[in-house]
Amino acid sequence: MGMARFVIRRLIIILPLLIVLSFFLFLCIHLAPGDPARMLAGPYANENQLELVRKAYGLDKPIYVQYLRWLIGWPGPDPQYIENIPESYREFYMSYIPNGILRGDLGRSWKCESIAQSIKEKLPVTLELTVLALLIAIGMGLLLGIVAALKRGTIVDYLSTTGALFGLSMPSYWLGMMMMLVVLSLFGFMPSYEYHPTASMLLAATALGAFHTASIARMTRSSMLEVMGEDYIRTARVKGLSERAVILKHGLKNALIPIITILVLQIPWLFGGAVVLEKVFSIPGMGRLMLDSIFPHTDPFVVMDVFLVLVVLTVFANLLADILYAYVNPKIRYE
Amino acid sequence: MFTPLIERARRMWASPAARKFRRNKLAWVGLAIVSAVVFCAIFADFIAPYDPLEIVGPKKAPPSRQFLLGTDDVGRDIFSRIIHATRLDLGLGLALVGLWTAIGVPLGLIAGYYGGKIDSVIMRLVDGLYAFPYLVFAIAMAGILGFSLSTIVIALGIIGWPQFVRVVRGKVLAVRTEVYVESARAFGEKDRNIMLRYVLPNSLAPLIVIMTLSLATSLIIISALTFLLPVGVQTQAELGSMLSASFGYMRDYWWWATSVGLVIVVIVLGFNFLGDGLRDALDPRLRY
Repeated sequence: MGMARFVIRRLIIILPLLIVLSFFLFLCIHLAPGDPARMLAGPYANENQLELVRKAYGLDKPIYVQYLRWLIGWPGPDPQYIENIPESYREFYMSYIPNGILRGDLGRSWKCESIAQSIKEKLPVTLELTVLALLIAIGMGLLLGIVAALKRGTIVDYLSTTGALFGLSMPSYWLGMMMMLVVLSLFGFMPSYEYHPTASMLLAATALGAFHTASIARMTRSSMLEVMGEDYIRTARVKGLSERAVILKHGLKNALIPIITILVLQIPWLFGGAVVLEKVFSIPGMGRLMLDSIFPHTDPFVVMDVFLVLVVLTVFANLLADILYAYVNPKIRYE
Repeated sequence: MFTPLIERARRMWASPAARKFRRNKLAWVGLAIVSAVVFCAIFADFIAPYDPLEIVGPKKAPPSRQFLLGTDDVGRDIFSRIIHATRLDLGLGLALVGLWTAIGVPLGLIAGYYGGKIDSVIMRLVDGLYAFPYLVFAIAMAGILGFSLSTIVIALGIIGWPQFVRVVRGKVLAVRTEVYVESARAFGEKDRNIMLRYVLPNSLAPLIVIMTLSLATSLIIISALTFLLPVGVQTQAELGSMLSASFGYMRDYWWWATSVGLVIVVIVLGFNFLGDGLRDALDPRLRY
């Protein structure tokens, strides 16, 4: 069956893509002006201390060696360097130094937290937020789009089209702030300065999904209008199918193709928006980790780790969307 | 000397695309908003009643006749700050879209015109960059390079251009086999000349559309980043950082955050209306 082969082929493309993206990221961080050793050691470190940090993190090595060490932990730290650390401190010292993402060794942040542990705690929160936002966006967007297309020219169509235009033009974080104000005036409490697992999450997801709701609604409307004029819809009607079956099975299924296309392009946006909304609603997710890694001073390794996790997520989300796309549109499998 | 120009403008006004644009009411609304924003940006010094960086009143004063939208947490006039911020934000947005165009258009021309290996390399790059959450990338780069507006614009600029490549390349592929391109090649024109003189003018229409629409998105991204990062809060008037300053006081001073945000919405809406109108008139099948 073509589907399995299609998925496997996609998976094979992903591996080099991830390697290239991670190397590009590594280069961006390490070739940028600003010494990584200086960032790690802080502004008051002297030249000797900088030298020590360079040795410890392997920053004195060529860039591709550094990249390999960051990614797979090989070649590891200098044996000579390790020997110089007093035995009783050795393990503690080395636990600070990242030594291979793929081995799960991400080191510790300046707050002493294990980065791997932080990511493990915060990733599910961000995933919850983005998936919730996506579900809201898809549900609301499809509903609004279909209704607008079927009731073309009525007040419903007008309202949903105008609403979509506003949704596309609103900064999601500002929408979140305004929703907070509304909640405050209605219920007299503010789900912002403190994280409330249900209220904050729902509000943040709605605000985050607003842009995507709007663009899906717009796309669904125009795509439904296009599809509903096709011959096969008339055939389906003549065949005596119920209007509901015509709309859902024949209309929507064909209208989905451009909608999925636009969705794929927006997945990276979703993670960007999540970072901002996590800040607004004090949600302890990857965005918090990202901002923590640059305030009050930057830890280049944490920045790279968090970013890489988001890139991997995006790539796999794109893969999922691709599979969905192939499922909806059988033509693509034979290309 | 101006007659050919006037003649050309008259012909443009009468063209089918312009007629379509003129009949589009939302496009007119967009044009009006954009003109107003540009006017504010240019004549900010004359419109704003106060200096945007100067403390001119009590802290956090409510809107009044003296301070139209009240004052902020240190006593600066919010209305004046908004007017001046349109200049800065519009400048940043234009710089960003300029960077995207400067990188994306040549790559799109080359990919579409030469095809083959170059094309597939460029398009792989484009596909790869689509997987980059570029707001997060800009935060990361700001952490490495230091918090400043130029860092943000450059970081967004170096990875945000893929859609420009796609649009230009698509158009180039469509016109590459046209007779006038073939004949130019037959006459021995250099590739560079063919691209600039025969191919590029044909991709101008969709280019204008995506430049307008991406100006709208770039304003949103930039304001999101200035909301998150401490860039120029005290030394500049910028919409995102104004929202960031208002955030902590939202509970008691709601008009502050509301008015600043509404200004962003209206500006972005204006560019979106204008861009949609241009698309409907120039290139209705363009998907962005």
